Amino acid sequence: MSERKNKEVLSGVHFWQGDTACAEGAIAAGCRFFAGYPITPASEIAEHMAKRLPEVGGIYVQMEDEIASISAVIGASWGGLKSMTATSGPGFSLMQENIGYACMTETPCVIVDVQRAGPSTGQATKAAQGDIMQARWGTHGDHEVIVLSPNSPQEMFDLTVKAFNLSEIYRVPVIILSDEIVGHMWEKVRVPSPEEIEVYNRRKPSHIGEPIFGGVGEVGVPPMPRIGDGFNLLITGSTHNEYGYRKTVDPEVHRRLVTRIVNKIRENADKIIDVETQNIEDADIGVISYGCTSRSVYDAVILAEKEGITVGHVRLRTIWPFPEKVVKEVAERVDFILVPEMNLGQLVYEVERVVGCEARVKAISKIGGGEMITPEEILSEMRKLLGR
Amino acid sequence: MGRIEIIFAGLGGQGMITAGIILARTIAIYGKKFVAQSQSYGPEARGGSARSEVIVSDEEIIYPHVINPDILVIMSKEAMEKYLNKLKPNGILLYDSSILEKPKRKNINIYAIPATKIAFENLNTKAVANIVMLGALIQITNIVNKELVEKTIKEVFPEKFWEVDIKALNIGVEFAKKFTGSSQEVSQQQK
Repeated sequence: MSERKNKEVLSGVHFWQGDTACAEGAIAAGCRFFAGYPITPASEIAEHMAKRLPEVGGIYVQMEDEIASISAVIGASWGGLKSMTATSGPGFSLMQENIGYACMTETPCVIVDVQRAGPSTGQATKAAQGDIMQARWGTHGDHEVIVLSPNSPQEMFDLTVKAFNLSEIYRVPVIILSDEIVGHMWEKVRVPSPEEIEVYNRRKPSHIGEPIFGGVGEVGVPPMPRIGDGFNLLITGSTHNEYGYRKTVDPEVHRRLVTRIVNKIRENADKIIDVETQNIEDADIGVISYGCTSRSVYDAVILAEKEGITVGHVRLRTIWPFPEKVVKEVAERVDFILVPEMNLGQLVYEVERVVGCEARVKAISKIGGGEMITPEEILSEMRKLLGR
Repeated sequence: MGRIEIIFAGLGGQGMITAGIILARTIAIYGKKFVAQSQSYGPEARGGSARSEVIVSDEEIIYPHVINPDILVIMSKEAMEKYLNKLKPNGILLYDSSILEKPKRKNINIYAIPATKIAFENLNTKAVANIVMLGALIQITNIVNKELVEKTIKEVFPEKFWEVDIKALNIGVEFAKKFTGSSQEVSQQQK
């Protein structure tokens, strides 16, 4: 047993690619079930899980496709295991319906999307950031999910741990929206000691018969039993009352359920949201960034400083729920906000919505071949807007 | 030493990405420097172009891709055409002279390494030409100690490949001594 314990958290410094770090983060957070179907550039996550999960008493299943993968992940979660799948655009599209099922049944699970250039098969080995809106709105109906955006192998580890914790706390699917650049990049990754890693587990009911789909006020998260705990479990994607009974025509039950599963995220957004900021108190121009592109922005901030331009930079580790407050704060202080992304404009529209008339919002878009937006390209856009 | 940008480029299957990872991992773990390795390849398992980028720096690496390469290791015609002119002036170019023509460019340091040929002649396999190139690279640039690369090879590859890979590395080092003299210390002084 103690030997197994040693293998759960590989404390120390490693040279890992992002995908490996993600798999190790999952195991460190207590993930013991992975179901997936291989796809570039996420296959290395499955490969690593296939090797590692048996070492820690976990289960790896290669499924027949992505629809089956997300289904198995949801089932395993109700079986009491922390569970995860990993995919890229085409597979993420296939998973959408059951991501909604996970939202509606309040099933904790983690879905990794290592983004590549779409639509469709697109450029399978090349990075993109084109799934921003799909991660938010890919499944139908009113819902909220949590979406995290790592920018390094280290954050692939750290944010995967965080994803599991948020998923357990809020009983919600959490999506790690990575990309080929971060997923395939190799860098040093420091794995903390087990004591340094905070791990949260879902709250269990205190007695059989306790409501597990409500009865916790308007923004609460109900406790979750495991199949086999002795509950008469009714788990359904149809609208249900707090005990799980289908209520497919009652307007009040639907309003109460769907409003709560949305508000449990919206009302707790301040606790969920994680951003990194630079110079937002005193900036000449603002930049909102996320994922691999944020690394270009950090360099552009240094280059701009040499030219006397102070850049107020907000880097979103949490993309959804959208960090409205901090983006508004920046907008009140600057005339221009740049949003660089490896797509033809996605998050920029959300920034525009939040900023309103406070500042002019401009996209820097680049797609194709997995080419990053360079620091120089961001700097030259700043010069143009500031007339320097 | 600031920031050093290295590109390994060739065809899929030649091991360009592996060579990059071996070098990057050695420097990251034993060299106590910041390293970022990234890669680019097509959807094909073999053939198609494959590239590995290694950035080595004393400071934290923010932008993780190559902007202007200092060092090129080239093993295909397509890669030569694509990257030759991107190499910095006074940059270092190693190319596989058993499969490529000598490139025409002035103001750079060119090293002809017949890696595929000497791998096949000495070890009866072309599959370790990438490691021969890596051996030549570390001898010429002195970027990392050979023994540390051998250590990495043992950590990364299955045991059955240790012997052939370590031999390939040493063949590359020995070959490159004709450019640098007999030891890495000499090449250091020549700089």
